[in-house]
Amino acid sequence: MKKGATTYPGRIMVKLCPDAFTYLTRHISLILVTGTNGKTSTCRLLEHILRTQGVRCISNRSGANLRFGVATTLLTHCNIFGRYKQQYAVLECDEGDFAKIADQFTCPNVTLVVTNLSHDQLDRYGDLQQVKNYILCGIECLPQAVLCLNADCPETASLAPLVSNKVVSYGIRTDVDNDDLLSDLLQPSCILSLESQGALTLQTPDVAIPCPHKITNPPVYSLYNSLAVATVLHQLGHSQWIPSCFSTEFYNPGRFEVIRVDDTSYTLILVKNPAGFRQALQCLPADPTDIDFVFAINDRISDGQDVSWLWDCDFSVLNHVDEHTTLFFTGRRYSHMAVRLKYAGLDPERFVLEPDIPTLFTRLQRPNRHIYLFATYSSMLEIRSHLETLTPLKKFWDQ
Amino acid sequence: MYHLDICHLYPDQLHSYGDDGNLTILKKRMEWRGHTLTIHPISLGEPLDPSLYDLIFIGSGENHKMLQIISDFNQKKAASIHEVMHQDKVILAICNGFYLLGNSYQTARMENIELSHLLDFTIRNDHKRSSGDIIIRDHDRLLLTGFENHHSVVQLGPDLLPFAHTLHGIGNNGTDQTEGVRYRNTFGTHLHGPLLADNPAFADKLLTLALQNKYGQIHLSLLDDSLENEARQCVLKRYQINDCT
Repeated sequence: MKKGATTYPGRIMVKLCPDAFTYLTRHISLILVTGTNGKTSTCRLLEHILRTQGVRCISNRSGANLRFGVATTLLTHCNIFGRYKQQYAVLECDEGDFAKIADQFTCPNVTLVVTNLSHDQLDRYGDLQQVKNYILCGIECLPQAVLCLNADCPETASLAPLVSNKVVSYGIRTDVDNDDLLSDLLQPSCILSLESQGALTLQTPDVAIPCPHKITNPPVYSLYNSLAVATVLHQLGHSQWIPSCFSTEFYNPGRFEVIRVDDTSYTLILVKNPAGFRQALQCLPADPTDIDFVFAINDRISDGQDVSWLWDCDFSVLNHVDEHTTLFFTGRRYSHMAVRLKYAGLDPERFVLEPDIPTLFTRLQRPNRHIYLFATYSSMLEIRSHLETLTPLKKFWDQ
Repeated sequence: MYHLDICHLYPDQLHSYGDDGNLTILKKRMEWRGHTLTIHPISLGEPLDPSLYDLIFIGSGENHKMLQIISDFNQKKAASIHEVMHQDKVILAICNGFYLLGNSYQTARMENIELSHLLDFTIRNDHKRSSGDIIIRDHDRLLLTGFENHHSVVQLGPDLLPFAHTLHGIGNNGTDQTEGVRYRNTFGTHLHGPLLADNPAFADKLLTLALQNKYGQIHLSLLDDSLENEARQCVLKRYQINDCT
């Protein structure tokens, strides 16, 4: 992350002037996004839609979502008088650092999105209740903020009765109801209806907005990201842009990003916790042929140092892929992942263990193969930087 | 063909950090040898019949969930666990599950909560999180690797033996190099990972103890553990600890 996310200016700013956040954010509307999954995708989509509509906004990168990273983002975009040309700041906030980030702001124009709260990087922050407490402490610092909460996530929904803020909640309902998946704690005010024919409609308290979309079978987690953005736009009075939340196909590195090198195509999928891994596996093609898998598991701080979470994922879907599929393992914990899949019922005869990434790619490169590459955060950076030597790519941190 | 029945205690409350993987590992290692193993979930409020199980597994969970089950454990399960323990059946208890067997537990608010007193050890709150790779050596000189993540300090009573000694990591308290507790065939430990994934020899030791208790002399065939051993070596190498030492 050295190249990608510098937090040094922010560190100095906070040290020299502890009120700096308050000063800098007087004339800009803040949209803060926190939660355990979907922060980056939600921020990127929101930012993309605002920019497409000609609205100027500033934003941070996922590698700069701690207190000093947020400070650095705010500092580097203002002019020497601490003023901004932009109307909005879309800021991704690490859930474990949220209390410290929120403590800095006293400005009135804050919209806070909590995407969800599931078991994520527990070794960093203790348990989920601890993370929830960090978020609650943060909300206490922002009494005027409007909260956009995912009503379908029980832990997120349970924040609503604990706060005095205005709450706008969102959720998905299908015509085939599966009530087991839904929490009854919070009745959503923005409801996305999924009809069996695939049509999407967003029902806000005032109006029903049809949302045409191109994807035939959108993954549920990406719908939640779009819905979070739609709810923010509704809250900010930009309901006319809501349909574009569901029709936009935009570049999102590491989130099902497809990269072609000669005749081989690589689909890059960032994984960091059981919920995300499970969702990613559900998005594999139904009848996969000519595909191989790569599992690139690192255990650096940005990945989560404890790889035990791999055992909380259900990999049974991999038992259905055809027998010509090879499973490659790389990253600092390549062998732990291989052990995990051995006990999930996959035959180790199909495993190739290759910790060295350049060597791995010489073995992967076969004509007309489609490689699905699941990687943790720092492993994704290493893989993308290797792929960059093979084909031109956008920088991870530019996106 | 051998068969084992495992009681999985509090599967709905204690299921964090991949600890349930230990059950998958025990089951697969029986099945790969042509034997069978059945997992019986026993939850809050349900009675625990000590005669039905050869092995009891208690996983780890978040602190607030552990606090929800303490009274149920003390009132409804502890007497049965005591019986199982003294019949030399196997008990494997991880982190918060392991704490249930002790005398008292100190919460983050420094309140002391009375536990089952099955084994003589106490748990204090340290506020400092012990989180990272841990490497230990047990009484049979087996080297085990795992991941610890707790902010408790465990002090064993004078007559209680630890499960192992730490070579790297914090373990029970970071001062006396002890890790976990071993009493007859009861094992309490902080090791996640899950524990048995990196340590197939220890998994087989548990199976052997449970099977011997049930069948007398038994023979467990060897399995190819090269992947598991590579995973353990990968952690040992990082801390320059040699498996042969």
